[in-house]
Amino acid sequence: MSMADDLEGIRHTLATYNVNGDRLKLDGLAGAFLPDGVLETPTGRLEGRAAIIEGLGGGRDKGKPVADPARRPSFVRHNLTTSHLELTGPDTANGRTYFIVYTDIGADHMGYYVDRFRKVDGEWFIEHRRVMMDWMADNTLFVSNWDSYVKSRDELKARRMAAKG
Amino acid sequence: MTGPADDLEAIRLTLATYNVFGDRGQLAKLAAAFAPDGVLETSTSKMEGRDEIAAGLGGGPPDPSAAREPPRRSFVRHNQTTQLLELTGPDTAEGRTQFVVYTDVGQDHMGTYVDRFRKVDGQWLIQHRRVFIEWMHPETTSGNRGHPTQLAP
Repeated sequence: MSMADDLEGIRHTLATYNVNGDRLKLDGLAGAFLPDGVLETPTGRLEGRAAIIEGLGGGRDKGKPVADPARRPSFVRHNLTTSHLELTGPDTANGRTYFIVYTDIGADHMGYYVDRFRKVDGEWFIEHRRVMMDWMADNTLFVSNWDSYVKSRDELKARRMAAKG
Repeated sequence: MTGPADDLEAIRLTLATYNVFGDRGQLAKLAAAFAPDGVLETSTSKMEGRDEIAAGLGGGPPDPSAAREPPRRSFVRHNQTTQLLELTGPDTAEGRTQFVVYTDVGQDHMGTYVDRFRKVDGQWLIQHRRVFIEWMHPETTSGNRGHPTQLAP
């Protein structure tokens, strides 16, 4: 396998995560991870494929009454944009990939994935993904993420200001 | 052509050809991204073959008797984003590519191309493209304005 073929394998894994996730095919999304892969989001840490499926699907807003159904997205599309991929060994790679999420309101939020990949039996998987949120629209339909977004945004801002000061 | 990466790069060139020339109104070059008998399907129309595709996207020959409407946009840019490409054989591939379109209104519309590709004489071409418009700005300049959006399966 050439270096270009490895990068193609990683790109395929990146797209598999979002194309399946946007269609609520959580098995397909989790299949992008190693069996013991880790997904860290602003709202929690999920270890292993089963926990990832449960955390992204079953866990979301479970039991909470929907105050306003119009404030829920009727569709979600994660658009991957800038992607910086580096092979760090024959079977390991690091990545940083931006995303812009569209819902009924248009651009809803954006952020980036910080990833470690591992190649197993010729196939690339996500070993560890950290999801970072850079921006959410004031009228985001991902309301359950708003509080954690504001908290992490304010912390980050304070850290950056302190570093400058 | 050696490894899969070379084929995938060639497919990406074809994908970019469609949008880069489409955004410049060079519809003959856009149509050349298709196989000679390629098909372009939207929610409102189906075009078969390069001539029909170029004519269909151009809105047909201008009718001098028709009142000329002011152009609704001064530019259009299709930004390709998430892309899932799969080689299904030595000369066939499938793809799913999302796009976000900017015009004078900013984010104008977004959607997904669902494609089948075929390698003809060493060149990858679109055999079949289905365009799904999944979101539109209320003031979209798209010809799909007024039509319902449709989610790609």
